[in-house]
Amino acid sequence: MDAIRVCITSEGFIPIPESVRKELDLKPAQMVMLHTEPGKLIVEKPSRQQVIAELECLCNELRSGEPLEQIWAEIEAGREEER
Amino acid sequence: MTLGGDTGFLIGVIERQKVAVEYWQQVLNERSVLFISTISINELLTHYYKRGKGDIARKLIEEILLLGNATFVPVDKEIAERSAGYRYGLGIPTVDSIVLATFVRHSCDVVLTTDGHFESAVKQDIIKVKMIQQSE
Repeated sequence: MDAIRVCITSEGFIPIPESVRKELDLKPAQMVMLHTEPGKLIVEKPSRQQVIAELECLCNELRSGEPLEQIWAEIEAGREEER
Repeated sequence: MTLGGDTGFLIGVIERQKVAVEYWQQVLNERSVLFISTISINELLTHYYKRGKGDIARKLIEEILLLGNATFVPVDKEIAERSAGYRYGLGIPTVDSIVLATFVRHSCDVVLTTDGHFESAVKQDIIKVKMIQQSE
Protein backbone atom coordinates (compact mmCIF):
# COMPACT_ATOMS: atom_id res chain seq x y z
CA MET A 1 0.00 0.00 0.00
CA ASP A 2 1.22 3.51 -0.83
CA ALA A 3 1.84 5.86 2.07
CA ILE A 4 -1.24 7.72 3.27
CA ARG A 5 -1.03 11.21 4.71
CA VAL A 6 -2.88 11.65 8.02
CA CYS A 7 -2.91 14.47 10.53
CA ILE A 8 -2.16 14.02 14.24
CA THR A 9 -5.14 15.34 16.18
CA SER A 10 -4.87 18.13 18.72
CA GLU A 11 -5.23 15.44 21.43
CA GLY A 12 -2.20 13.63 20.01
CA PHE A 13 -4.05 10.73 18.36
CA ILE A 14 -3.11 9.41 14.93
CA PRO A 15 -6.19 8.28 13.00
CA ILE A 16 -5.81 4.99 11.14
CA PRO A 17 -7.65 5.19 7.80
CA GLU A 18 -10.21 2.49 7.02
CA SER A 19 -8.13 1.16 4.14
CA VAL A 20 -5.23 0.48 6.52
CA ARG A 21 -7.54 -1.09 9.11
CA LYS A 22 -8.90 -3.38 6.41
CA GLU A 23 -5.46 -4.34 5.15
CA LEU A 24 -4.28 -5.25 8.66
CA ASP A 25 -7.72 -6.65 9.63
CA LEU A 26 -7.82 -4.35 12.65
CA LYS A 27 -11.02 -4.17 14.67
CA PRO A 28 -12.28 -1.32 16.88
CA ALA A 29 -10.73 -1.37 20.36
CA GLN A 30 -8.17 -3.92 19.22
CA MET A 31 -4.73 -3.81 20.77
CA VAL A 32 -1.87 -3.05 18.35
CA MET A 33 1.85 -2.81 18.86
CA LEU A 34 3.58 0.48 18.08
CA HIS A 35 7.30 0.81 17.65
CA THR A 36 9.62 3.17 15.92
CA GLU A 37 12.43 2.94 13.44
CA PRO A 38 14.48 6.03 12.56
CA GLY A 39 11.92 8.49 11.24
CA LYS A 40 9.13 5.87 11.14
CA LEU A 41 6.23 4.76 13.30
CA ILE A 42 5.34 1.09 12.79
CA VAL A 43 1.90 -0.30 13.64
CA GLU A 44 1.80 -4.08 14.00
CA LYS A 45 -0.86 -6.59 14.89
CA PRO A 46 0.20 -8.52 17.99
CA SER A 47 1.74 -11.94 17.53
CA ARG A 48 -0.03 -15.07 18.77
CA GLN A 49 2.23 -15.09 21.84
CA GLN A 50 1.27 -11.50 22.58
CA VAL A 51 -2.44 -12.38 22.22
CA ILE A 52 -1.99 -15.32 24.59
CA ALA A 53 -0.20 -13.08 27.09
CA GLU A 54 -3.02 -10.52 26.91
CA LEU A 55 -5.61 -13.30 27.38
CA GLU A 56 -3.76 -14.39 30.51
CA CYS A 57 -3.80 -10.83 31.87
CA LEU A 58 -7.53 -10.44 31.18
CA CYS A 59 -8.31 -13.79 32.83
CA ASN A 60 -6.31 -12.69 35.86
CA GLU A 61 -8.36 -9.49 36.06
CA LEU A 62 -11.66 -11.39 35.75
CA ARG A 63 -10.81 -14.20 38.18
CA SER A 64 -12.92 -13.90 41.33
CA GLY A 65 -12.14 -17.07 43.22
CA GLU A 66 -15.86 -17.56 43.81
CA PRO A 67 -16.88 -21.21 44.15
CA LEU A 68 -17.29 -22.54 40.61
CA GLU A 69 -20.36 -24.61 41.47
CA GLN A 70 -22.04 -21.37 42.59
CA ILE A 71 -21.17 -19.52 39.37
CA TRP A 72 -22.25 -22.42 37.18
CA ALA A 73 -25.52 -22.80 39.11
CA GLU A 74 -26.17 -19.08 38.52
CA ILE A 75 -25.66 -19.47 34.75
CA GLU A 76 -27.78 -22.62 34.60
CA ALA A 77 -30.55 -20.88 36.54
CA GLY A 78 -30.48 -18.09 33.95
CA ARG A 79 -31.08 -20.67 31.22
CA GLU A 80 -34.16 -21.96 32.94
CA GLU A 81 -35.69 -18.49 33.23
CA GLU A 82 -38.10 -19.10 30.37
CA ARG A 83 -41.57 -17.70 30.21
CA MET B 1 -9.80 -31.93 17.75
CA THR B 2 -12.88 -29.77 17.37
CA LEU B 3 -14.18 -28.51 20.70
CA GLY B 4 -17.51 -26.94 21.61
CA GLY B 5 -17.03 -24.63 24.57
CA ASP B 6 -20.05 -23.77 26.67
CA THR B 7 -20.17 -20.71 28.95
CA GLY B 8 -19.18 -22.78 31.99
CA PHE B 9 -16.03 -23.84 30.15
CA LEU B 10 -15.01 -20.20 29.60
CA ILE B 11 -15.64 -19.44 33.27
CA GLY B 12 -13.60 -22.54 34.11
CA VAL B 13 -10.69 -21.21 32.03
CA ILE B 14 -10.88 -17.84 33.78
CA GLU B 15 -11.05 -19.46 37.22
CA ARG B 16 -8.26 -21.91 36.33
CA GLN B 17 -10.33 -25.07 36.69
CA LYS B 18 -7.95 -27.92 35.86
CA VAL B 19 -9.84 -29.71 33.06
CA ALA B 20 -10.95 -26.45 31.42
CA VAL B 21 -7.37 -25.19 31.38
CA GLU B 22 -6.12 -28.47 29.84
CA TYR B 23 -8.52 -28.12 26.90
CA TRP B 24 -7.80 -24.37 26.65
CA GLN B 25 -4.09 -25.17 26.28
CA GLN B 26 -4.96 -27.35 23.28
CA VAL B 27 -6.60 -24.30 21.70
CA LEU B 28 -3.69 -22.00 22.53
CA ASN B 29 -1.24 -24.57 21.11
CA GLU B 30 -3.35 -24.84 17.93
CA ARG B 31 -3.95 -28.56 18.49
CA SER B 32 -7.71 -27.93 18.69
CA VAL B 33 -10.21 -25.51 17.27
CA LEU B 34 -12.89 -24.06 19.49
CA PHE B 35 -16.49 -23.15 18.67
CA ILE B 36 -18.50 -21.04 21.09
CA SER B 37 -22.12 -19.95 20.68
CA THR B 38 -22.75 -16.21 20.69
CA ILE B 39 -25.27 -17.06 23.42
CA SER B 40 -22.22 -17.49 25.65
CA ILE B 41 -21.25 -13.87 24.98
CA ASN B 42 -24.58 -12.88 26.49
CA GLU B 43 -24.12 -15.12 29.52
CA LEU B 44 -20.49 -14.21 30.06
CA LEU B 45 -21.11 -10.47 29.83
CA THR B 46 -24.19 -10.67 32.06
CA HIS B 47 -22.12 -12.51 34.63
CA TYR B 48 -19.35 -9.90 34.58
CA TYR B 49 -21.65 -6.87 34.32
CA LYS B 50 -23.07 -8.01 37.66
CA ARG B 51 -19.54 -7.93 39.02
CA GLY B 52 -18.58 -4.58 37.47
CA LYS B 53 -16.13 -6.18 35.04
CA GLY B 54 -18.07 -5.98 31.78
CA ASP B 55 -15.40 -3.96 29.96
CA ILE B 56 -12.71 -6.50 30.75
CA ALA B 57 -14.96 -9.36 29.65
CA ARG B 58 -15.64 -7.59 26.35
CA LYS B 59 -11.89 -7.23 25.79
CA LEU B 60 -11.47 -10.93 26.55
CA ILE B 61 -14.01 -11.84 23.86
CA GLU B 62 -12.26 -9.64 21.30
CA GLU B 63 -8.91 -11.14 22.24
CA ILE B 64 -10.22 -14.72 21.92
CA LEU B 65 -11.22 -13.89 18.35
CA LEU B 66 -7.65 -12.85 17.57
CA LEU B 67 -6.48 -16.41 18.18
CA GLY B 68 -7.91 -17.37 14.81
CA ASN B 69 -8.85 -20.93 15.85
CA ALA B 70 -11.65 -19.88 18.19
CA THR B 71 -14.97 -18.77 16.72
CA PHE B 72 -18.16 -17.32 18.15
CA VAL B 73 -21.04 -18.77 16.15
CA PRO B 74 -24.26 -16.77 15.74
CA VAL B 75 -27.69 -18.38 15.56
CA ASP B 76 -28.62 -18.91 11.92
CA LYS B 77 -31.63 -20.59 10.34
CA GLU B 78 -30.16 -24.07 10.48
CA ILE B 79 -29.14 -23.78 14.12
CA ALA B 80 -32.56 -22.35 15.03
CA GLU B 81 -34.35 -25.22 13.29
CA ARG B 82 -32.10 -27.87 14.77
CA SER B 83 -32.40 -26.36 18.25
CA ALA B 84 -36.20 -26.55 18.07
CA GLY B 85 -35.87 -30.30 17.57
CA TYR B 86 -33.61 -30.60 20.59
CA ARG B 87 -35.79 -28.38 22.72
CA TYR B 88 -38.86 -30.44 21.92
CA GLY B 89 -37.24 -33.85 21.66
CA LEU B 90 -34.89 -33.65 24.64
CA GLY B 91 -37.00 -31.32 26.77
CA ILE B 92 -34.10 -28.97 27.44
CA PRO B 93 -34.23 -25.16 27.83
CA THR B 94 -34.04 -23.02 24.69
CA VAL B 95 -30.55 -21.72 25.46
CA ASP B 96 -29.18 -25.25 25.94
CA SER B 97 -30.83 -26.39 22.72
CA ILE B 98 -29.25 -23.51 20.75
CA VAL B 99 -25.82 -24.15 22.22
CA LEU B 100 -26.14 -27.88 21.50
CA ALA B 101 -27.31 -27.24 17.93
CA THR B 102 -24.34 -24.92 17.40
CA PHE B 103 -21.86 -27.63 18.39
CA VAL B 104 -23.59 -30.33 16.35
CA ARG B 105 -23.69 -28.02 13.32
CA HIS B 106 -19.91 -27.59 13.56
CA SER B 107 -19.28 -31.31 14.12
CA CYS B 108 -17.61 -30.80 17.48
CA ASP B 109 -15.85 -33.92 18.77
CA VAL B 110 -16.63 -33.02 22.34
CA VAL B 111 -18.69 -30.46 24.21
CA LEU B 112 -17.09 -28.88 27.27
CA THR B 113 -19.82 -27.89 29.67
CA THR B 114 -20.94 -27.69 33.26
CA ASP B 115 -24.62 -27.93 32.38
CA GLY B 116 -26.32 -31.20 33.28
CA HIS B 117 -28.92 -30.76 30.54
CA PHE B 118 -26.35 -31.89 27.98
CA GLU B 119 -26.41 -35.39 29.47
CA SER B 120 -29.68 -36.02 27.66
CA ALA B 121 -27.82 -35.39 24.38
CA VAL B 122 -25.25 -38.00 25.39
CA LYS B 123 -27.97 -40.55 26.13
CA GLN B 124 -29.39 -39.99 22.64
CA ASP B 125 -25.89 -40.38 21.15
CA ILE B 126 -26.07 -36.88 19.62
CA ILE B 127 -22.66 -35.69 20.76
CA LYS B 128 -19.89 -36.46 23.25
CA VAL B 129 -19.80 -34.34 26.36
CA LYS B 130 -17.07 -33.66 28.90
CA MET B 131 -18.65 -32.44 32.10
CA ILE B 132 -16.35 -29.99 33.86
CA GLN B 133 -16.62 -30.24 37.61
CA GLN B 134 -15.14 -28.22 40.42
CA SER B 135 -13.73 -31.32 42.11
CA GLU B 136 -11.47 -32.14 39.12
